[in-house]
Amino acid sequence: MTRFFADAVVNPFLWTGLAAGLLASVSCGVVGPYVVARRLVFLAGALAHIAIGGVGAAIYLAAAHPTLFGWLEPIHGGLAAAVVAAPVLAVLRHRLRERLDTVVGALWAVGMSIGILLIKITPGYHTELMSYLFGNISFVSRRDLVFLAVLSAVVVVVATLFYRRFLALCLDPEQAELRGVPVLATDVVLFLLIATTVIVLTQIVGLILVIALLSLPAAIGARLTTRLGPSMAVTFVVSALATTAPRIVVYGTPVSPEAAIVLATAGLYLLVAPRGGDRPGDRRALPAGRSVAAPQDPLSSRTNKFPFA
Amino acid sequence: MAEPVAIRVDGLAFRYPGRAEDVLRNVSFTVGTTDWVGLLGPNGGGKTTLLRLLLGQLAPTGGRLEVLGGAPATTRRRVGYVPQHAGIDSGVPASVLDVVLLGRLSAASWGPRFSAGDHELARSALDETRTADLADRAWSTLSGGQRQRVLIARALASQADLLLLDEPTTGIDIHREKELLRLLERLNERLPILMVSHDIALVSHHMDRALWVDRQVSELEVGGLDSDSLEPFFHGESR
Repeated sequence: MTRFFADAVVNPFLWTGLAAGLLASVSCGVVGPYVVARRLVFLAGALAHIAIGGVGAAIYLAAAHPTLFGWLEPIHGGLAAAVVAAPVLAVLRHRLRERLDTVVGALWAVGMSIGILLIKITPGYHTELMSYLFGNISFVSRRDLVFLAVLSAVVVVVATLFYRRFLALCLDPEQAELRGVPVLATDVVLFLLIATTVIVLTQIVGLILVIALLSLPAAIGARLTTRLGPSMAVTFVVSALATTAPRIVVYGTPVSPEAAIVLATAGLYLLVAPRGGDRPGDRRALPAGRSVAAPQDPLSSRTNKFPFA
Repeated sequence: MAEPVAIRVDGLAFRYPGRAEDVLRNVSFTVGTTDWVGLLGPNGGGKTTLLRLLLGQLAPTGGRLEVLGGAPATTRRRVGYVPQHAGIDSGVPASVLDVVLLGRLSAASWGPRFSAGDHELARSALDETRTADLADRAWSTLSGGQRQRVLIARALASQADLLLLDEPTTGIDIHREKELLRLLERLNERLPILMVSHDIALVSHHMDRALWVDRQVSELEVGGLDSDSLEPFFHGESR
């Protein structure tokens, strides 16, 4: 640990890596609770893997047509692919209730396959894809930081604007619709924020592991709090701890910092996950021996109901 | 001068796309502004479809439908709807007050906070349903009876002019059911209520009118209503 701080004096990348972790934690804190509450972890995973197709396309275009696309960074392609896929997935979620997992699973695999295919046919030798798949927190440039800061700012502003609408969607989409909130359009905005957050997190843990940071800190937040706002605060703190502390601890060892971040987050989740599966708040508020899952009373079985009801 | 009505249904028909048969056909009835009307009928008879039509979530394939003097899609913000099963996800970290404040949501709701006025209306609705002490509790910790009262509070917070309830007494014990019915009696002093129920005694004892919904709608005599008197309806002999 001391080696990290000693080296940090001369190696600015160590500081930019930590700063990137903190910036990503902001997006994670804002969007993660919605991903968990709306049960969108699988869809977020699909967005991440579809983004790989965009990363591959950007690498191919920059290499095959340098005069036109030489400026294109792989992450730009990832962002474009995720942003295009987000509304498609939102619409699919609303239209395909029964076969959604099959279709999303197919898109997940197709996105990744396109990325691999494009890398394969890209002229020259390219190793960038690996850093986008598994993250590269050790080499975050100032330019990357600016990019992350802009994306995080967009996420915070939009999420603040849509806070009540997103909460309504998480709690009761039918009621939200009856109250005049356009549910599909609001979901599209939420999916776009998730896509943006996926790209922000890519720099930290890579597209393959992005699901962990998008879900585990928020799951911890949901366990420890009973309202969305505090849940976001806890998610931010957990994400900030998870993206900085393991990086410092494993510095100078053969352990991959990206893997350490995910494993530390999973460890924290295991620490706070109550054994019975209910949230701690649920137990506090209920009389001893009574289950949240069974609020009904046996007295309710009245004999005066229809025999065919 | 015609009696003021909360709901006017005239020759209503509805068929789901791709289906061969109507779910509802030739349905006509009215609900007055002081009525408490029970909707009885077999499963699959069209009760929930009728509620969805009244909420403007479905469009009729025939006939006319007027709720609070207008088309349901335009007036549904003035309708308080309490579903049979709260669609509220218990996994979402939210307090009871958060749930009730959803009643204050509108197409113009932007930003993170509800106004002081919205909070006041939500608190007042919680008071009216005697759930004020639950305001800061997590929604996931509530019992079935408490949830139903909170959902009614949400409907009241929206300053509803009509209450639509889909089997609100399902799954709650007799004591809580009585509390809920007393609450609805109080609310019916100022609001018309249309309530789906499978409980014949409940409809018979508490409501002004009862409608039998089984593709068509027939008016029932509320006094002395029991399962024997409903036998002909159950077997379709009254159609």
